[in-house]
Amino acid sequence: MGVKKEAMLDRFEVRPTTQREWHLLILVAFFFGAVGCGLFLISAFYGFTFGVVLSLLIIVLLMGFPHLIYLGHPLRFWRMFTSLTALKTSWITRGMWGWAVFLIFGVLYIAPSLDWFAWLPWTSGGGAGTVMLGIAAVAAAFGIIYPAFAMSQSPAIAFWNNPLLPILFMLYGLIDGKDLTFVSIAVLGSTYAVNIEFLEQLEIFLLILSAISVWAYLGVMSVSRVGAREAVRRLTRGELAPIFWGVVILVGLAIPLGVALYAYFVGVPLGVTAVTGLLVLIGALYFKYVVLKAGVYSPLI
Amino acid sequence: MARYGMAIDLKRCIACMACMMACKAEHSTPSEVFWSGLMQKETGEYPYVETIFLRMLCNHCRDALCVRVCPSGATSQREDGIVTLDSTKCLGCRACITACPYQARYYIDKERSYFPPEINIEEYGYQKHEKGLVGKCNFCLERLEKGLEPACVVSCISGARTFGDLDDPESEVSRLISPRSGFQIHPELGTDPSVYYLK
Repeated sequence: MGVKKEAMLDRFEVRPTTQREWHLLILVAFFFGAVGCGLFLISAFYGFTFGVVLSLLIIVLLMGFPHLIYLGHPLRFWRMFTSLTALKTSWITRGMWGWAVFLIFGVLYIAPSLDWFAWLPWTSGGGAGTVMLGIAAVAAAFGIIYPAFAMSQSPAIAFWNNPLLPILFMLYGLIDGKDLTFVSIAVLGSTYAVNIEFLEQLEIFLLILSAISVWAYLGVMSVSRVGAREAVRRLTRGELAPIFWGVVILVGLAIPLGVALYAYFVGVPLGVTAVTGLLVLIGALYFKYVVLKAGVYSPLI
Repeated sequence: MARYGMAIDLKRCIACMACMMACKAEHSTPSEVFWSGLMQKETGEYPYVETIFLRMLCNHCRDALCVRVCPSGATSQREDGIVTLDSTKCLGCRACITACPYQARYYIDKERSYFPPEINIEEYGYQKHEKGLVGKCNFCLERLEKGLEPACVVSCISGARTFGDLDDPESEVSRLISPRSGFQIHPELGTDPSVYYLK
């Protein structure tokens, strides 16, 4: 059945209804928001300047821009910063404030490390720089999980309305940042003081934890309300099953975990680690894709 | 202060769609936008099969999720319980559409008309529905301010819709809901809708 016909039937039949408003642009924004913030956290920890700058560019261009053009009236975006009532209740407003804090303090933190801004009266490694880093890091962690809070805020879509979702998003955000760090180092050459071995061990831990969390999430949702059960059916046995099992689980978790374990015991070149890092990123992107597509409203009666 | 609400008698509703058309005429809603909609569901097993026609509209919930999630404060709730939308503040982020359990909101993603371009009958009315914004039922605020009932209530030929003050136990709508065990849609979500259905 075509999408348009399906959408029209959703309007006139009482049945589990797919949400159709948050789609490609929101997916891109959510994914790259997590990737950028994760990259910032890992890169800032190791003083990987290129990674920090790349993370800020990713946030502005690949998170901010899609968010902006998704709006029906993009030039009104500033209204998100003017409503104090909305700040008290809306996770989207809180998220925008979080992004603003992250960008401001992230830029202030890294700027002195760049030749063009070496004249600034503070350094990235000094007291003021460390404070700015701390604020930016907290904002980055918030930036990874706030989309999950925005999604789970409404109980209308039961599959999203779960406290495990922010945890899942945080795990994927950290994995994304770590794997983009691998890719960046492989492209630039491993001349940076990044502890590759530690990150490879962290990869094993995060992948196992993510796999367990996904399994737990689906387990809880499979006994929840009708909309959540329908979402789990679509993911595991329905129209989203090939993408879920083939890309999210196999490409995004199983294969990288196998390679990571092999690397831990035997060792592999950095290039192989970088390629598996790309696989994890693809899996993470499709994870957010299937979560958005599986958002189903429970039937009205 | 009154808390406006509505009772819809499912036994009286004959699915004539007069309320849908009255709403369209009153608000000039574009094609594929139904502020007063109809959803149907078949229940039971042969030979005891029944079709339920559910008249759907904004439920003007007492604890409205759309008000909570709106990032710009465009969606707000009046003292009389009516949830309104300020189109000058709306960003078109559609968080409210995602949040609404009753799928009562519509996003105008492109200009839609029931008529070919050379016929501009609804041109003036369509201007109220700007592209890039969200819209929904407002209990016909303009009519309420003139002391009139919403268009869907007035147009109902079988008297299935009753409108009034839910906080007044003597109002017609309150006297219908209690004895007929009027039910809300999705009460478990805690939104406390102002629209009740009578079986």
